Amino acid sequence: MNAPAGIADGRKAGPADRSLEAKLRRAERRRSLNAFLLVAPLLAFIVVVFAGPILSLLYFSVDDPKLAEVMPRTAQIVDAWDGAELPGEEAYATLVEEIRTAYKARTVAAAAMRLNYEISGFRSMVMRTGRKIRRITGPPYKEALIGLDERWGDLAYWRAIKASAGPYTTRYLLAAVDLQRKWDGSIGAAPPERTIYIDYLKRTFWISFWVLACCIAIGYPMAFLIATSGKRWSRFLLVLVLLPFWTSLLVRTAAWVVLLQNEGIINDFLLYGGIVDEPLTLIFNRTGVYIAMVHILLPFLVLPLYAVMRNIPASQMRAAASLGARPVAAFLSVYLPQTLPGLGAGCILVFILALGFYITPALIGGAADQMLSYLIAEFATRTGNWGMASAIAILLLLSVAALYPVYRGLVRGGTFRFG
Amino acid sequence: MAVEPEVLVRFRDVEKTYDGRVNVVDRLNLEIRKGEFLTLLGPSGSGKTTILLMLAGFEAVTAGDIALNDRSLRNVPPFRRNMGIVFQNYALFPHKSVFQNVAFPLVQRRMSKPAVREKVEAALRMVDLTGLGDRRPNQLSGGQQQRVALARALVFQPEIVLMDEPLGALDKKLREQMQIEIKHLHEDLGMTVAYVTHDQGEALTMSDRVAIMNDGLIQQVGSPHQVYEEPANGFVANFIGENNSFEGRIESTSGNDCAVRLASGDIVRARSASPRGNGEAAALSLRPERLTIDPEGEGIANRFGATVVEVIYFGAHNRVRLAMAGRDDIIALAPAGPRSDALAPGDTVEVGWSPEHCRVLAPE
Amino acid sequence: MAVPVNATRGQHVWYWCLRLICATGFIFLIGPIVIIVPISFSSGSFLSYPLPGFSMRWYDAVVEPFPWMFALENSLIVATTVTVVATALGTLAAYGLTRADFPGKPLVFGLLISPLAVPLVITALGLYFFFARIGLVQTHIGLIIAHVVLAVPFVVITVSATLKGFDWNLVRAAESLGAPPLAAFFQVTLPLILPGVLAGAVFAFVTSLDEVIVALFLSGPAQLTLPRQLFTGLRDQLDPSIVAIATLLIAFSIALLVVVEVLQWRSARQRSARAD
Ligand SMILES: Nc1ncnc2c1ncn2[C@@H]1O[C@H](COP(=O)(O)OP(=O)(O)OP(=O)(O)O)[C@@H](O)[C@H]1O
Ligand SMILES: [Mg+2]
Repeated sequence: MNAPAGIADGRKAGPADRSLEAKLRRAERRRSLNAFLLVAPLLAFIVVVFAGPILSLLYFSVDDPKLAEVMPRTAQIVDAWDGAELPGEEAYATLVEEIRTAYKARTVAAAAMRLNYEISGFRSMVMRTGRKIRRITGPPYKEALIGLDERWGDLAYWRAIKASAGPYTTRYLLAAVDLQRKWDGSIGAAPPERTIYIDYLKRTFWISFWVLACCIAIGYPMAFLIATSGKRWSRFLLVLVLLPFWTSLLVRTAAWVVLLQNEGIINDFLLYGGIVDEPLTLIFNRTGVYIAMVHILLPFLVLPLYAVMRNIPASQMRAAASLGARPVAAFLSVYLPQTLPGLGAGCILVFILALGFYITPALIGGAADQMLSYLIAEFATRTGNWGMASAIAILLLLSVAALYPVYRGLVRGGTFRFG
Repeated sequence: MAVEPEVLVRFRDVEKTYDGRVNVVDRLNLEIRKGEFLTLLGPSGSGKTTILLMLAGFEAVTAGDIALNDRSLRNVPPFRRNMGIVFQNYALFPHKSVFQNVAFPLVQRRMSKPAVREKVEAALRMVDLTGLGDRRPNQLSGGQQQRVALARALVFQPEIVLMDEPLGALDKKLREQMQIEIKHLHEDLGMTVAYVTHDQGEALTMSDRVAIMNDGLIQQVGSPHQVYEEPANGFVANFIGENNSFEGRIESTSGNDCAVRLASGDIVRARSASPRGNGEAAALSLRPERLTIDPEGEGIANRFGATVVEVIYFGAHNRVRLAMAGRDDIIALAPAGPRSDALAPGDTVEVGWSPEHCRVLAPE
Repeated sequence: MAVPVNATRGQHVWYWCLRLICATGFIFLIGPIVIIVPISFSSGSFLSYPLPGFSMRWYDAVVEPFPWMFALENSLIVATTVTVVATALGTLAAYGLTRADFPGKPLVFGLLISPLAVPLVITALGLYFFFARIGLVQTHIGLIIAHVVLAVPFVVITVSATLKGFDWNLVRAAESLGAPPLAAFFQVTLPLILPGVLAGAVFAFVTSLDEVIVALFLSGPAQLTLPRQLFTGLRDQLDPSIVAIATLLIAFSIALLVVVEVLQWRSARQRSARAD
């Protein structure tokens, strides 16, 4: 109703009414503000300690300060250079000067490392040049440097320096999808020895997909059984799902390591039973990864499905049958659609968790079974390549984000809502 | 001479137990005739739903047999039984539109699209829901949902429609309206209906025949008039309508007319459905509306003095509690009028009823 | 999953298949957890059956001060602090989120629970870079902050869910009887939503206690946690003491399961008592 209350009962809207309205509005605002103040501490905390750092990954994936920090003037000169043919004497002179100071200050390694991302072998070349730089005493620097290592006369190395000049670069982001920027600015396929990232991405999706498929195949009937059993049975079966759910991921992984080893329980059992002649390789390969991941993720599918199935009355299927629907038709057109919200929620949960798996493949998988998370951890903690780690993290994050529309489509595309 | 009515469904010695100990349905022998509206009426837990579920094929029959058109239904799965069912909570499919719900049985029977459309529209018209086909069930009122369930159960012209308390969730006014509509649909379409309710008013107004159940046993099957006016036993008399019951012994008989001596020593003349012997214990059943205050005219062979204990005003009638024949819980329904409105507790009145309205039943 | 009455033969076959799948599924879920328990009591050092004999020697290894007891102590310190902080912040926020509307509320809620949707490695990476800059890497406080981020969504979700069924008239009644808002909260609201808050706290505790990826990124030797030590042990030298610690953790999860079930049962009972 638009009219102030006063008009409705025939009185004029006086100033008193208006001030009452204002008072009400102020009270409403105060309530909102109070509510927000309660949320504010956590909100600030999450923004600073979670959202900020995640967004900062975007920055780290393009940040490229190393070379410019260590050899600022070389970076500047090379940045201005067109890259068509070898740079002039000035560039060589500056480079020699800066390698000399950086070598003394022990900062050259960082720059050399950065250059190595462009051409492998560049690092040792810079380090060797640093060791011998004392031998260069005066101009012409160009000849002298090429004399130390003839690769300094190779255009490709200078273009690598130009690509590393910073302060920002797209190389990590491009590399994460197996692309690279050529010296002339065009984008093309990365050299074959570096095109491993798309493979990792594909493998991550492939493994997640099959884990999800197995979870659905086993989990759907399980949820159905729990939802349609009598009270006691359904409580008992639910506990069988909840116990693994509450058990530490590492404990479950440990259990699988123990079970799957070559001298493990499963192999002993198979050998003892004469089912196989020699132990099967179940660990450090894909089989083991699938088994352990399905085990860990299965409850995440069963529980949301069960929650939905529990609320579907038995009369639904009876109605379908009484109307002449055969069991398969009744399932497909009456039961399945009503479980879609739970199935969708469970699938998205399983798939997103699977995409981020790290521990289980690391402990149970072999080298060919590692997923994107493994790459991120490797780059961040072992090789210290923050740029690459950030770029792959963004790739993974985008993969996860891309699934939300799928999920919403799944739930809404069924064109129904309850309640 | 009346033609023998055609039997559609026949329950023969059907028994049902869920736990292996108690028979929730026992010695059930019942026929459902083609085209009739048969109601199963009984208190909660008497086994009505169980009978319907067995007929529909959702519960196993422990012993005995159910036959449809003289063919046993044993091992016929529900989806081949061709029975329309209206469930108590309707069991409409929440993810399908009204149209899709009603079309469902036709789609299952692989009917062509235009035929489906035509039939569904006719069915929706029949239950007065034209134009609501695109709605979801949860966008409908309770009464409208009820109609959709009805349309869905009727659209494929099943041989028999089973309804399990279909009006239980509706408010009183809507329930009465739907009772009339269902009755009309039954008359217009000539289908067979097996209807379950525990509301006796509903059973009496809608049915051709009523089967009254208690504790898994059928107590009486008959027309509404029969079960009301000629209850077969005390349970039926008490379950349907209000009842004054007296206990006593048969003093003398002549044909089906009996004279019964009550504990107070009074003699009551009443009628029995079957011959009775002198000295037998008997229970008398007398409907409150048959008990007149200040009776006039012939044929009222039972006349007693009584004291008014309580008068409750009900608008069209007054409900008068009387003390008489050593009891103080005898109820009379007196039509509103100057005489009955003037009654007050403590008044002494004469009451009476004719023997044909007082039934002699076996004592419980 | 009883076979329907009057089922066709196809249905009978199909139901047996389903039962088989379910049986496999349940054995698959619970089997590994059950099977490894006896191994922890083995007197030998092979991780298989038959067990050569019974002994507690692997438990003796577990109660040695290093590494397990040291890791346990660290884990408990971190998890307890995380539980207190996350429960306080999360309950406060959930209360604010349900008490009144304010602009952008759905967005705020989404943001607060977003750590659940981001793969752990990514969170770990972001925090690693951030903490490296402000000097919190390889500190207890850094690890605690990181775990609070991961644990707080569970508190927000469980407490919000509990508050959704909460009858605000009770607070109005308390206030009308003269209780100031804060007193009303502590004397009326909090006791009623306590099961939800405790369930959230249990979730927070478990999240921290079970977390390993962030710990791998952020902690140093002084912050060695139980999962980290388990991870290292599984990777480097697999021996029955790992199975012994796993058994202890399984016993712990059974206890947690019971606690959470009881809490949920109690809050459900409270709800239904109100509905009556
Ligand atoms: N699935 C079942 N398992 C065990 N016992 C049952 C089951 N269904 C019904 N019963 C029992 O069988 C008896 C008859 O139940 P039924 O549902 O047929 O009664 P009803 O006449 O339909 O009652 P109401 O009017 O309350 O619906 C009851 O005692 C009930 O407890
Ligand atoms: Mg019933």
